[in-house]
Amino acid sequence: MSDRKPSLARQVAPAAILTAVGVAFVSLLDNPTGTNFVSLDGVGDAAVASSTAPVPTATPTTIAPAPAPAVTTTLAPSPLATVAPSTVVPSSEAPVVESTGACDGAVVTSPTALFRWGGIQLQVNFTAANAICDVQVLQYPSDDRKSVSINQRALPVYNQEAVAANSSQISAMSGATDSWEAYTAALQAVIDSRQ
Amino acid sequence: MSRSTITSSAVDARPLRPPKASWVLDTDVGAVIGALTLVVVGLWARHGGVTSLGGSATDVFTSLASLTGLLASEAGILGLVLVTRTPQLERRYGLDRMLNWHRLLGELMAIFLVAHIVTSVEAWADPGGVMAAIKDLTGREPYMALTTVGTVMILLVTLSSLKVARSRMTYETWYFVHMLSYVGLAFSFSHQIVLGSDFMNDPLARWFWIGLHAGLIVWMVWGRWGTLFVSLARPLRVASIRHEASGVVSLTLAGGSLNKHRAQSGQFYYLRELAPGRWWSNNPFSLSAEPTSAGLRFTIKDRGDASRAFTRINEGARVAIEGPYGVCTPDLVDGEKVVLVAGGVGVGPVVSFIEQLGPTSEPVVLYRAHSQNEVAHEEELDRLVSARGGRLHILVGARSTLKVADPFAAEVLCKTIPDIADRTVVVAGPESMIKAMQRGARAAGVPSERIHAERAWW
Repeated sequence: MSDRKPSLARQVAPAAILTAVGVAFVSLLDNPTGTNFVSLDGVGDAAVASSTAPVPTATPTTIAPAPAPAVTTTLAPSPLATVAPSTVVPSSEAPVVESTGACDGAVVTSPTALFRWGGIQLQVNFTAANAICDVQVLQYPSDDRKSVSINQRALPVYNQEAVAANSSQISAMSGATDSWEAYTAALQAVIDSRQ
Repeated sequence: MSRSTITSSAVDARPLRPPKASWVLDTDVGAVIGALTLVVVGLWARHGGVTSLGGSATDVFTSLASLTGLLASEAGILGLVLVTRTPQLERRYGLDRMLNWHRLLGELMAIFLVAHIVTSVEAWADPGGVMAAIKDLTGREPYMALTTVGTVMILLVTLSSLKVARSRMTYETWYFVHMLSYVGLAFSFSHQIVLGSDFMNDPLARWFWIGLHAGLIVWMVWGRWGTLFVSLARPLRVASIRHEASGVVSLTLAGGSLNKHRAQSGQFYYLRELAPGRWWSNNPFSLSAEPTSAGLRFTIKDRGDASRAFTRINEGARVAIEGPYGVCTPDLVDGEKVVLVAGGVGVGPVVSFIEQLGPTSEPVVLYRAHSQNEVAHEEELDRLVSARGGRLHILVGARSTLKVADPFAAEVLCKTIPDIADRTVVVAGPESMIKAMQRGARAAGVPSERIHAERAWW
């Protein structure tokens, strides 16, 4: 048999072609935030704008205003934050925990906490004594079934825990730790803005 | 040249043409494996796998769980490609070597799989604890119950293939346990798509992965089952049976479909007797004569297992063949002088090998057997070897009764075959004898690349 030694080109070409195809494929892949870490969108310039007016761009039906909002604070009126209401999940889908206490304090919208699956944005209602009385989720990752199921399971629990703890010191749920990180980051940003 | 000892009746017996050479190069195989690894690791890195390694413990475990899961899949895919018996690969590397690589890849996959399980549990254990994580991962999460069953099957297959377990099982038991791995892989596929963070959020990656597996299934069905179907559709018949030695018979299989068949001395086939209760048993046997259009001869020793049924087969019985496989053919020696070493029923491939050597090849044959009544094909060997100017040494008896302590020691080999260092060595027989001969031949100055072993196929 003693096959003739194949040419260098014949030996190298398949490796070169396949490597090129592989690299091209990998570079086409979805590259999410590239990190697991939560980044808060729009807190960069730390402009914590307070206003007595309700959130101007918010759709009245999705962000239920508290009975008598003394102060409505919107964090970070950055471009992304202002388009946020358009991505707000309809209130019928968003897990909502109805508060039992009197929410007669401020209503604060959090910045969107971006993490690898998307963003979480909260609306936090305070009592006049500045305690958290209600948390609503305005936005959560809903691009895929898995994210929806994880968040629909976890977020109502986190809402309850946040009210009970009156802080962002809440425990994460198994299988929903990424959401937990984003949620607590968003909540902490709101709390920080109230200090 | 006395070629046809097998069928004196068939006047038109001509040697079969050798199988077509493969165009696959080592570099091609390396390129495919390299590119697949690049894509798999790239997929993981692109989806944040590398940056996660700098995060919390949970991030690190999640990232490692993805990576080990992907690598386990890659090892599994490559392992399956090896058992498709794709002719282009088989003719380059030989099925025996491919099956050995298949076993190594299987073990590699099991290691990645265990690492994947451990890291997944750790990743899930935050903050509910390990027990909660195990509960989640064995049932509560979607498709994980199915995946758990699949994983148990795959690990069972791996355990059954470890040498300790394998030697205690019949070939058939082991084979059917092995079939579980297909089910196991299919069962665990769904969780990769639904739960695997690399696939559930990236449609391109998901479709690539699904396509890769679909392609593999088509390849398996076409390659593996296709050859099976062809073999069942055109079985050969047992044309003649000869008693060769105590417990050793030679069968010649013949049929019209051999006319277009390609095969070479030194190759082997899987034989399947098409008879009630026997059709599911499929066993490898080496050719023991040059394959001709008149028939394929196999020399089979009764080893108390499935080989026994073949030693008691009736003339005219239908036998489905799959093959030929193996690259330990006379092409290896390419005109060089050769030392052929046969152990027990390994004499079969050696006889067929010599038949295709040239008239001036001066082969030296060492034939080791337990006892005189187990020596098969002695006359035939003698005639073939002397027709080519070679020598035949038959060494019979238990090791303790031999004149030398180790017949395969370098000094014994050098004394018996003074020019051994210039020869190519081909060994066919049990594993222990192959090892002993490889050691001895290397010590006697034969370079490793000129020592070829044919594992004993019954």
